[in-house]
Amino acid sequence: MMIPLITPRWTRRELLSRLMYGIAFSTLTGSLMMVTGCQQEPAVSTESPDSPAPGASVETVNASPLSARAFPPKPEGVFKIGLITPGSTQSDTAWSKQAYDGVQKVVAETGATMTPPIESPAAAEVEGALRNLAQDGNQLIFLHGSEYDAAAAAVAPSFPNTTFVVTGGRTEAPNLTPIRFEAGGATFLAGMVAGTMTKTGKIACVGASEIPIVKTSFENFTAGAKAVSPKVEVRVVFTGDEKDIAKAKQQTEALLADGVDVVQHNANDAGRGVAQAIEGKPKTYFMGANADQSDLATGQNLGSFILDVPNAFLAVGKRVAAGEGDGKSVSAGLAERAVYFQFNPRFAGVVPKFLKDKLVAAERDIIAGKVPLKK
Amino acid sequence: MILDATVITQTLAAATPVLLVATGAVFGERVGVINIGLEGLMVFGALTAVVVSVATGSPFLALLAAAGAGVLGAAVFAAFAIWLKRDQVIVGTTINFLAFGLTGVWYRAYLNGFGAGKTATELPDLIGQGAGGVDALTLLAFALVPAAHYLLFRTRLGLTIRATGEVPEAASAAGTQVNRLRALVTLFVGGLCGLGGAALSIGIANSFTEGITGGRGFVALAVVVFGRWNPVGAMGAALLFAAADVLQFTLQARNVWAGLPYPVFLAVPYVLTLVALAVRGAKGKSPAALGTAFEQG
Repeated sequence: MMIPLITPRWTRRELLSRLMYGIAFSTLTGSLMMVTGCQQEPAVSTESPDSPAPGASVETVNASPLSARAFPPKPEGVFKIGLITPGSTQSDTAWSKQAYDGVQKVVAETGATMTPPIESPAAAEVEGALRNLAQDGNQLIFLHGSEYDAAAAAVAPSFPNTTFVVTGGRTEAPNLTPIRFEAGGATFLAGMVAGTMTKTGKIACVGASEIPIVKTSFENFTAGAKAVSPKVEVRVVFTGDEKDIAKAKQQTEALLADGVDVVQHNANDAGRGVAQAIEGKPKTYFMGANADQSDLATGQNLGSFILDVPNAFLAVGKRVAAGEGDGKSVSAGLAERAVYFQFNPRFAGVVPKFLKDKLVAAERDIIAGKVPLKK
Repeated sequence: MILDATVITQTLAAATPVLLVATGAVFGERVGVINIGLEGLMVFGALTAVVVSVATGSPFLALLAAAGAGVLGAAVFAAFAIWLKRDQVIVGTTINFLAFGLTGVWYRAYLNGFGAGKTATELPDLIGQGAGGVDALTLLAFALVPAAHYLLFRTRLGLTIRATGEVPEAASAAGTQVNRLRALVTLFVGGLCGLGGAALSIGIANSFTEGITGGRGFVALAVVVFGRWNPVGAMGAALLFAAADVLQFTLQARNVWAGLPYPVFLAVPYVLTLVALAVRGAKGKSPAALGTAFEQG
């Protein structure tokens, strides 16, 4: 009789049992890690943008600060533009779609061609994707989100002929241009609208993850609401997933059930769930984020705070196409009309005239620097 | 008061997609097939439901189509995993990749084509309305549980299914066409996954987005284990998970414990379910022949 050399410790049945429990446990703990870790932003690179990368040429290193650190030259041959976005450029009707529209606008004006966008790359893939885009001859690359700042700062020195543009970025270099949207002014105005229109005195903000850009938008929204109605209660909630429409809808329903009647979202795709919940309930109002979202919950939609991404992209794109890129950050606030609040013209209710007047006055004050905003 | 009618109907709605898929998966695993691709089959169903609902205006036709899409996806799984006897875990994983890729391409084409600017017709509520409403699919999901339990433990077919998952050789000797039965059950599971996806897309969210399922197919796999491969147990686990989710919505919405960072709230369902599993202990045994191919003699 054959005796096996190694006696198996587990029968196959036990092994499978363990495998099933393993799947169950890893699903749960994995999800747990995702929901608890998703609000973290990658660390900001503190490295000076002027420090040369290993691949930088000797001339660049020895050159005097600005005059000889060459700005990217005027693109020759086919002018190719690349784009990296955190979400789908098709179904997320605001943030990522706007970036796509922005590049299309540059294409229309400069005759450039657009490389298919890279959507929601994993954090670890961004740098590699960026290098590939630059190596493939894209002379202008837009990175749509503050989370890409470190990757762009790391890659830019190796490709002096390519201009990198980071929405919400912080690092500047001859070929690295941040676009700084000062959305605070617009979200402050949105807060004023919500604070005036609420009947119950309870309003809310629904976000997906608490990244800095969303956090400050909600803080300024709250400040705006309190400015018109100091007693108003502002509930700030997060769902943890910018694609889980069902979750955003149920979260909003829970808010409405507790008497909240105006909801500002800043949850990208999942904002559609917020609108769904509002549509099912009369006398409640929805407010859109980042783009004109009057298509969502149209009759109950008060308006949206808007970041004019396409025009900001166009301004940078034209400069780069003409060989005039200078690496200076582009500031985009209320004063430049790059951010603003827009009432929904198809709103079924009535927005009082005094509110519109108040908004015009507040906008003036914000531009004049009389209103302290969170940045 | 935390517990009110809305909280209950919300819990039922949140449990529906997971419950439909888990009920199916109980049968799938009982017959000896482990399908990791449930999430992918849900995504197929979710998108099909939206497209058909927009095209025909009938949410019930959309449900049929979603179930059909799930069956089609499951047929691919059955072809590779059962007929060609490839490793079930790997085929299931492939189904997930395939589903996410295909639905992504299809959804973009649809958005830029006839779906531009159109909204799907939502599944109507049979009881109540809005947040307090219960739709037909939720009723179906919960009605299926006792039926599934009866079928599995009180009928000859149920016995055959269980025998096939435990000792396929014996089932085969008793005259069962093991692989044919496994394939049929797999298709049935696929249909339920399609419905589970539809429960999300036209039942709750009334729209689709890439990644709409948010891991619910995998949660369903976990729910089957907690329910110890029993439909009633799976229902309990699905309800527990959904209730914990709705509880955290409510806690956040009502500003209870406002000082806590929000990830603590988001973690509530996962922590509760992990605790439940730890308390229940790992006594349950999976079907003995789970995940193994069978060579018909």
